[in-house]
Amino acid sequence: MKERTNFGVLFVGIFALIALLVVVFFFRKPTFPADITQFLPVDSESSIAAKELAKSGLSQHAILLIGGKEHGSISDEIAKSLGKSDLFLSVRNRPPQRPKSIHGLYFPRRYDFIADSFADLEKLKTKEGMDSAATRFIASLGGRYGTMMQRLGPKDPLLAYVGILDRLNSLLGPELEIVDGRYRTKSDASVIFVELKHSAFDANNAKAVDALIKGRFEASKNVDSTLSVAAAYPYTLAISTIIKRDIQRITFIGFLGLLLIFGVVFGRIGFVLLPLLSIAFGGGLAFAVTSLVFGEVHLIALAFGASLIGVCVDYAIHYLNHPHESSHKVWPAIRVGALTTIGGFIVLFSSSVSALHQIGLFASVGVLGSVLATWAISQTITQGPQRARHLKATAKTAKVVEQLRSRPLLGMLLTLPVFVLIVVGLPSFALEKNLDAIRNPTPKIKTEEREVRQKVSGSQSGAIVLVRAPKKPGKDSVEQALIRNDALAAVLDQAVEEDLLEDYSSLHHVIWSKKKQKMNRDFFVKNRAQLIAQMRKSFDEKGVEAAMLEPMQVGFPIPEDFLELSDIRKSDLQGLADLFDPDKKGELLFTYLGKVKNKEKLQEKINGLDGVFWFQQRETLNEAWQILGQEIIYAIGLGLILITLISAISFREKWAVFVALGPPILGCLATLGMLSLLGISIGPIHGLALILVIAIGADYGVMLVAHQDEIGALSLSITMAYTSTMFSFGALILSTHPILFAFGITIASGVSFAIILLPSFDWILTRYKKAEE
Amino acid sequence: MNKLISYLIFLVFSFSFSVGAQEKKRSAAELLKTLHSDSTIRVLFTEKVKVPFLKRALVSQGQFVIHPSGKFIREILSPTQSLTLFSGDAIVVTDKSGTMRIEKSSAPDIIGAMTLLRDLTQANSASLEERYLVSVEGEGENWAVVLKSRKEKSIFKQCIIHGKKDVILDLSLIESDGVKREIIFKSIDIQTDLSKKENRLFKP
Repeated sequence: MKERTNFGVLFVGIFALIALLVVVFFFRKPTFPADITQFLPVDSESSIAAKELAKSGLSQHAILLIGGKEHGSISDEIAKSLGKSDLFLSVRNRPPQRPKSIHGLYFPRRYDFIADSFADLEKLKTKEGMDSAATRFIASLGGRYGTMMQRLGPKDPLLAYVGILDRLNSLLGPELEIVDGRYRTKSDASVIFVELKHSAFDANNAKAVDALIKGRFEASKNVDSTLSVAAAYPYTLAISTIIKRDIQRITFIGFLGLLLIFGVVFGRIGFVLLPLLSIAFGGGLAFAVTSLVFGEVHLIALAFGASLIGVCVDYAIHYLNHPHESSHKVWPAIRVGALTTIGGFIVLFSSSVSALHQIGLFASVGVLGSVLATWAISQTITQGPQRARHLKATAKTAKVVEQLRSRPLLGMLLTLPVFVLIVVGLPSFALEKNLDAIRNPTPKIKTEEREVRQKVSGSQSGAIVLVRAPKKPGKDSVEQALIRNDALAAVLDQAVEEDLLEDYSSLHHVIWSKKKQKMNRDFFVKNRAQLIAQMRKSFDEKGVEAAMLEPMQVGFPIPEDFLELSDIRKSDLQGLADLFDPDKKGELLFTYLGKVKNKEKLQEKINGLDGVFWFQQRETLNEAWQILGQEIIYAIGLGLILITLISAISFREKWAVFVALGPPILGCLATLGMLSLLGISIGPIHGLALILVIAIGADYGVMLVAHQDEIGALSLSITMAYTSTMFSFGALILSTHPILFAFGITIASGVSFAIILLPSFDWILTRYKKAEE
Repeated sequence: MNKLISYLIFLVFSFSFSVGAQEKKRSAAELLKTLHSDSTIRVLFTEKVKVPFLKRALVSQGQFVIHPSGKFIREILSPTQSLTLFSGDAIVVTDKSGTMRIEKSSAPDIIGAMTLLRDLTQANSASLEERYLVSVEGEGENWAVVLKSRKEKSIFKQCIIHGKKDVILDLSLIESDGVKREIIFKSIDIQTDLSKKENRLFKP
């Protein structure tokens, strides 16, 4: 290249970018999440619930299952060792000291926890109700609480405390037992419950946690020891590994393609510096701005950004293919091309999906940065005379295009497959309604997780019901959430009675709202005399020395304060509360459903409750996914309008807009037809990729309109741009991540269809121009 | 006869010796050591519990399954069913409505009380003497070993083992809160076969 005089702009730009990156890395400290929920729209209840779940502390809980000989002592060693790490908030392979905590917390307030409903309390005033209480009391003396009740019986004749113990015990689950002080499954494996300190969706954290757990296991294990994990972090790790590998692959193949293209066509490997610098500048700027704005860069956005090499390189190709004498003509076309591409991406901001915003910003800034860098470099360095190899390549492609121009039928024939795919394929078009394949690119981890959960929790349905506190200022939000939680528990109890549901686990098993506690207390205070009389009679008839029952002698001793969630959090039962209140704020409570026997009827019951949402992971995410699809269709429409406007303003000719947008739109339709014929359902990711097809395809159309008379440089430019696109986006087809694969196949085929339509549109353009002349 | 009876007879003698000459006491301790059995014993019993606030005693039937490891099962078969597993560090009680667990770390007094039964079945005189005052009573064929708790606040305040000749008849316990328990032994099966469930419960 031949030097120009002014390096100032280039150096200032590079210096500013480096400074920006330093600021970002040292002050913003961006994270690299990988969770799919960031691809869900914000204004649907389903995706709000999915995001709440993903962001809640629940995803930070992990279960480790240690099998094999001496698993107990191995689990002790691992738990002790993990407990010392600052990667975890808590590590437990032994239950907390429950009896003391439980007794201290609940026994003095047992009369606040007698009955769930006022109707049940009222029954105690009747003879039948108190007779039944007396029968239960006698039975309790021989049951599992027998030894305790033979002593505490007079202090708990109505079995209020026993009821509390029953509810707490039900949370342990039938599959889990405590042997030698440790958690053990019936399948004979030790269990360690772990709570991560940082997000399970942060790739770096997931990697560190995985390495530590596996390292400690390796250090402690026997020959036949096994480690199984049920947690969110292995997904993050697996997905981030796939994506990082793909980014490396895309970058490598992309740059290899660049070297190949530039070496073969220009005969000057040095030319590759121009796109390399512009891509590096565009990529760096995109990363810095996205990090500054969002504080994170989603790994999918990063992978997508890496594939933008194929787009950004086009500007350098267009510039280098035009001799400097005509460079004044190439910049307007590059500007329009870049604007249409940015227009295609900027519409992603119309979506409510945060990850799409990131992609939109990353791509727009990346393209802008790349164009600016190309321009700055072109102002600093000129390309000099074209080499013989370059001239030869230009002549060759010009010849091919001339041949196509002289044989319009051949060009038409090329379009045939496109129209066949549109006509034959589109009728079998189907929308993607199932997110399973995308959510779970690592079925092995899913299987392991399911097995561990089955061994620890038994037949859990995986269904979670969310209870949210109402957002009313000045209200005690924790109390409001607990009131709603009580209402949900009442409905679920009824559902269990009606055999719609096997069982459930809820914070209701640990604590009731103050409102419910007060209802119990008020009832006893108000009806004390009547209850005592009835109790004396009924218990006496069952063989109890009723006069010895404590309430007969000293009344109902109850502390002034009601039991609060904060009391539970201060006790050894905190870990238990965390399961249902992972955010530790008491405003978003989780209830886990056991086996659901009649989904429709249960759904009906739950739907009627305020602030309660049944999160059925699969259905909820699928529903949210479909809403995302609708948003992307909207974005495509908006993108088309924007690109049309940009083309119309730039060229001020109807036919120019037609030529610019015709090939990419038809390319998109043919891609949809092809995917449908392949049996691939079309989802939001395909839609997103189609926006890109329109943006890239429109670039080719814009170049055609702007440089139709420079057939050699134009055809070579477009051919090289297309080849580089294939090297980058085509590389995504090799990805094992379903989202990246969907991106790759859609863009590669869409752009290919768009380019084979170009000769026909060139012919149409020529006809228009002739007609005008 | 059976081994449990032998245990308790030697136990009786061991306590007798313990209040007698040093040499005899030592030989009794040695003898007790050899009594540790590698087989499992099943004993049927009837239990009567008198609690101060009940007009009548609670009567139940059940069985003990005593494992050489020191773990044992106390299973009530009627009138209602429940199963208690004592594993040394914990007690797990299961009935038709669910399970209750008590850990040694959280309730040492309860686990300590249950240790009495384990020590008796394992003839662990040292452990017994550490926590109880031991004396022998009775005339002729009838005898009784009396264990009185050294601690005031203990669940089992007094335990009396009644026997006749070489047969253990019953175990009387005076417990805290005025609870009185009488366990009358019936048939005893040495080297008993364990059910699958029992095998699993005794698994280390």
